[in-house]
Amino acid sequence: MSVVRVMGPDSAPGPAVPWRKVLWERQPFPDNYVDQRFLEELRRNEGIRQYRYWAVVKEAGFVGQQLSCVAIFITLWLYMEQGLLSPERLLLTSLVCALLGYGLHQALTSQMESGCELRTRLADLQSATIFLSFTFGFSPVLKTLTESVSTDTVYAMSAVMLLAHLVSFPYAHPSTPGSLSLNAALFASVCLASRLPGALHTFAMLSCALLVFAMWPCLLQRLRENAPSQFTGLCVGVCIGGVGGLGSQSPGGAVLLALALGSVTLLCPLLLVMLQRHKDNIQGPWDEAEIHEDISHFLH
Amino acid sequence: MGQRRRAVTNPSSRRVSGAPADVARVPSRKHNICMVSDFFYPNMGGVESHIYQLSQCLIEKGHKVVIVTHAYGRRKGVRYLTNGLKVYYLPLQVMYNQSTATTCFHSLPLLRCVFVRERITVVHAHSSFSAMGHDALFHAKTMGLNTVFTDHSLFGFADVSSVLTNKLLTVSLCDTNHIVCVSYTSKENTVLRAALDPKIVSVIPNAVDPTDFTPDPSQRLDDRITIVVISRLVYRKGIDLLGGIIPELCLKHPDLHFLIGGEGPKRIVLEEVREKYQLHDRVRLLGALEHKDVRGVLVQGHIFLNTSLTEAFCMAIVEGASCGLQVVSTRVGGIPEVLPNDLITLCEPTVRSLCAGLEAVIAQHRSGSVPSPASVHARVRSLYTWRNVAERTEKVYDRVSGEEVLPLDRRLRRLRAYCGPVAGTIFALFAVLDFLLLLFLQWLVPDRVMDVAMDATGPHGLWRPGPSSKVSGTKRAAEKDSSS
Amino acid sequence: MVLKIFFPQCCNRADSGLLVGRWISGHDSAVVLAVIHYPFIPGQVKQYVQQMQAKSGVELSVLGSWSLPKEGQEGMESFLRDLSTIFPQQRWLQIHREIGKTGFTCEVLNRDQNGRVVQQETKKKSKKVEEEDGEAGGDKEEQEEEEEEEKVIFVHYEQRKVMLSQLHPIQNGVPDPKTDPPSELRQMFQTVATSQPLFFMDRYDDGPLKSTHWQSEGREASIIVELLKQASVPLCLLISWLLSIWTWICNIRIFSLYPLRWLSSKLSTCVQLSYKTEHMRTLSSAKPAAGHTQFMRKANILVSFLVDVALGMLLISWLYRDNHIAMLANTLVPAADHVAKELDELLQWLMGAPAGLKMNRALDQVLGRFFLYHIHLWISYIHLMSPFIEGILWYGGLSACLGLTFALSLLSDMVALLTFHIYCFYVYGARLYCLKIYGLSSLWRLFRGKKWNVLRQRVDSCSYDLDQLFIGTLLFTVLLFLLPTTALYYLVFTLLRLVVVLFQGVLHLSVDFINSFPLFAVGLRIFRPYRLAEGVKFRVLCEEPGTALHLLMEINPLKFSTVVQMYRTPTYSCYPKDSWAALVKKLFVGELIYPWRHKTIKTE
Repeated sequence: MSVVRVMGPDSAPGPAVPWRKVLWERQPFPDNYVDQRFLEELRRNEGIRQYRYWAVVKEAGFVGQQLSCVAIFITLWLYMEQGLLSPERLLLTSLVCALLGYGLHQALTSQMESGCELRTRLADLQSATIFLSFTFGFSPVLKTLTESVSTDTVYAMSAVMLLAHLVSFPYAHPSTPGSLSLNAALFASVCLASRLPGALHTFAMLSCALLVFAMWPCLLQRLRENAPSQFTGLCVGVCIGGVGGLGSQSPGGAVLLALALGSVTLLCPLLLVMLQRHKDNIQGPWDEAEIHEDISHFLH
Repeated sequence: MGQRRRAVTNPSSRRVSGAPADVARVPSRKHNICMVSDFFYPNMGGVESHIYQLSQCLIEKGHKVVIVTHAYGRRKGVRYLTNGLKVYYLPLQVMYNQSTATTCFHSLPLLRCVFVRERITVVHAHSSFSAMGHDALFHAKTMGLNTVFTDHSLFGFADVSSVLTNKLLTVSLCDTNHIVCVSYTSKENTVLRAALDPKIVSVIPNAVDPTDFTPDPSQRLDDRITIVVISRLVYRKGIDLLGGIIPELCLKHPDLHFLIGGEGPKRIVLEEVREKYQLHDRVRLLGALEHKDVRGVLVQGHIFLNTSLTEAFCMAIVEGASCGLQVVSTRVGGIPEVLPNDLITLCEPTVRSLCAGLEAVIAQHRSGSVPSPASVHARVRSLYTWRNVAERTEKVYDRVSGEEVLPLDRRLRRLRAYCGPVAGTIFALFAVLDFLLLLFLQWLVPDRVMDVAMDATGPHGLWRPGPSSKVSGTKRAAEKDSSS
Repeated sequence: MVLKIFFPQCCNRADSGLLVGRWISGHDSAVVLAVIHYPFIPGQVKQYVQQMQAKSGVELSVLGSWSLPKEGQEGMESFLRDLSTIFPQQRWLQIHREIGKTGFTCEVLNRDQNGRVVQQETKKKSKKVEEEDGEAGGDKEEQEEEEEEEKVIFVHYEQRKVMLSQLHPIQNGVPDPKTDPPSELRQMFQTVATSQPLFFMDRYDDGPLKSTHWQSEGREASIIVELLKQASVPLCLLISWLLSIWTWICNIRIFSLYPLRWLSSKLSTCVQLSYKTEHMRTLSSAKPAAGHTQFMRKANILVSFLVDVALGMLLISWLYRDNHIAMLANTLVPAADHVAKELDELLQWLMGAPAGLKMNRALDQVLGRFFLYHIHLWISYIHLMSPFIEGILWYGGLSACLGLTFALSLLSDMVALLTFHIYCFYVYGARLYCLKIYGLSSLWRLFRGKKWNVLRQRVDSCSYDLDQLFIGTLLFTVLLFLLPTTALYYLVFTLLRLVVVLFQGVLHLSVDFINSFPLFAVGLRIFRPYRLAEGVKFRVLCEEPGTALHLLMEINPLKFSTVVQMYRTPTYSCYPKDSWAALVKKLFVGELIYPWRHKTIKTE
């Protein structure tokens, strides 16, 4: 590229006028002219967020808590399978927990009393009746459902589904549990419950699953909104409970869980904060404009 | 070594690579150009018409142009268009959105056949969405041909898919001789995406045939103000914004009408707005328009509205202005470069800003202070002509054909250096395999035994039609326009 | 400009005289139809031409003159030239042939507005007709010669063949003035075909004019044809009377009741019957066939009907000899028993652990017992029927005298009735499976938090209530784990069903083949290939310097595949069929497949 050739439509050398970034004007510059102002509208890392370590850890606590919930559920199932926990006792405990939780939920809701729609008590009661009757009615069917399927297949399926639950869980807004995460958890619990010795066991296990996977996140979200300090404590408590519970059945599992919890709540936030420095995001006039306004109100 | 071998076997390539100094002295040498793109007629769109018009103008200037694209349904084989423009419809499998599937290798035999038979000297690929274009660039380099690439679109940097496509573009353009972009914004974008030297990127805008888009104020209805929108109804064209603008303005101005041409998944948004606000008599959805019908719709309007969220070079606003309409558009991509400020009202891509811009223009209309359609047309008609595009592209070819094609070893080094250790190594391997495949093909059917294709203009252009040909006539008219 | 003259081969050696023919409008070409010999009275020629024009509807005119000088006929040239003033024409052709030379010479006299005759010596120059492919190209120099003078090409054609042949694709009716006028070749074919009245003038007629053109040589054969035509009229009347009675019976109210109508639309015998009636109605209509297509259709139907009846008679002669009927009846019942027993065993196998598959035991037992009971019912039904089977076969066999197709249709119906149990199993299995698939697919959408939007025909995301999610997941789990059991039953019964459908499909296919195969057209193609023309090809006859180019036009016969495609009688197999992919999809989703509605098992 030693020979510099003028390529523009006009070949007049020595331009006196400054270059302008317009196409409609014939300018005395070659087509491949590169001006000082080339890429001057390039912007980097616009609107980037700076994270603080402990704030991130606090948020990550919620993930750890959900992980522990799954561990607690598995622990309960292990106890049931080995006959160490009778279904009646589990049912009773679940009932007490549910009532307590419901009371707490109501208390927290009335505390904030925001304008959003409130479910009536009757609707709640209706839902509860549907849950219980369907679970009770289906438990004999569920009991025989996986009889001929091999145990390994059932375990593998449950593991995959619980993992799907953890991955797809809407950690940002858990008050309305995402369909996929809840369904995956329920599917896993049905699989596991069908391996238990009796129909009542199945029923108890499913009620418990409903409590852990469907009700608990709602309550927790309320807590996070209304009482952030207690929320942190609760998360730590659930984590310890999960590790402890699992430890009583399989120490190896407990160690693994503890490691996972540690990496999720402590190590990952650290990595995020550290790597934030290397972020390099390019923006410019070529980017697709984003629609920030809410257009939907024109439609609905 | 491959170069030397080719130089012996192919007399035409010896002429090209052998005497670059000779080329530099004679700027008006004729090239054998091969346009490659997945997008061509019967598909319709900006890229397609760009390729067609540019090819016609280049043929008029005495160059030889062939177009290579993939088979469209039963349209396969060789076809001839106006002025003997030869189009190869190659039987390659279409994968997605009219783009062919690529394995980097399987198109080599066919493309080599075309390049050798047509004695191609410059390969010109179009559109970064066209896999066939990238394939052709790759193979052309393997065969020792010079290459040019025209980018018609803008890309972001944020998401995973654009990261991947940008990497591929880097690889594809790393040894392309010259790149053409349609606007300065597009140039900045391409330079960043493909990590290029900005010196080898030229900006040559698209063009509009001004004779197709002439104003006709008699078509306008005087008792109303009509806003025309012509675009595909997709998210990227900002149809959601349009859905916000329509009720806002229609409530304020009872004599305002909208005329919307185009089809797409976002049509439902407009239909819902129309239903909710009961604007059936004031918002007309015309559905998909053919290119020849566009002018008929444009001249019915007073204001042309463009709500695109991204745009490399917006042909629609030039067409609108050419028909004498006041143009209101979003300030995105290359749009601010296209029209002078007094012909266009630029707004931010928000409902509020666009409404404000439209209101200002409507107020001007009511006070009668807008320039007349004829005067707007007179200003726009000479801005963008295909003749000008062809001249500037010709200069690119002149420059490119004098350049040296990297031999294989230097090409590999360049790939490694430009495209990073991983992708660079992989594609260096591909380049070697491609080269071996080429050697194999040359052993199978040597270049010298392949017969040379006859041009539609006959030997030495003897069959060229007389001067009364229609296209050359219109082109001469265009020439007159641009000179006046 | 090149002037093309289509010249009949039979006029090659005609005596000198006038050329009668037609200028093809829009093209620079003329069709010569006949030569009127010298001597003649010009007034009579004019009258004759007008007469012929009225009879045939072709714009006939005197094109020019023809001279083949024999001994003692000198001075003819100038006489013939003078004739052009008697027959005023825009252009006057003067074709001249000398004994001993193969080529003709032609002069074209152009008459300008003043009536002055401008003579134009044609340049007799050889013109190469080459296959021009886009890249090879021809020599350029040749084109650069003067464009003004006219070249003449003689295209010789065989008048009889062209007159009788039908150029494809067929254009029926009056051509629409808006569309393009028919091509030159088509116009030429039409001209020759419609000027048939011209050819009726016989060589031996004692008219005032003598002419040369193609002449029929076998008038005697045509007398037989005429007699046959006369005889066929009362026959047609008889058939149509019988048909009207039959139609009256069919239209009695009781037959249009819903169940009967439905049944008759499903029984292939009834379908065949109505189909045959339709054919007979077409054949016996008193009106002569209008147009080539109509004629070919009638002829095809007639020939295939005759062949069909002949085959049916052959079948009857076999059936009623050596007591074959009783033998068949005696083997049928044990065969049905055997099938039932096999099915029983199959069900027992399915109720265990078939192929080591893990099925839901409870559901498996329920389904298995249900089907076993069905087989039990079926066996008793067969045994109840067994005394009557021979009688049914005996009377059914008689139907073959209506044609082989009829017997085959009856066989297909009997197979359908005898395998009714398999059909039932298949329907139960398919319905159950279909229900499950639909349930699972909608519940799978619920599982992912999506729903099907009926109005927009797409999947939308949707937020469900907690209880909806719970019940949905519960049902999903149950259906998912029960799916393999149902699917296995479905699979086995579908395979059985497919065997039956395949058999019926083959029967239907052969029936369709007999009904729709255009035997007449194929025969015509074999014995008179020129009758169905696809196009023409030209052969260079002589290319002497000094004479015009002579080409021989030969008729390209239609390809066999095109003949079959074009003239096949439309039956239900001609309608678009389901593709294989559609069939597989139907099987997968669990939709029912039938041999009669969708011709799925056609292996064409």
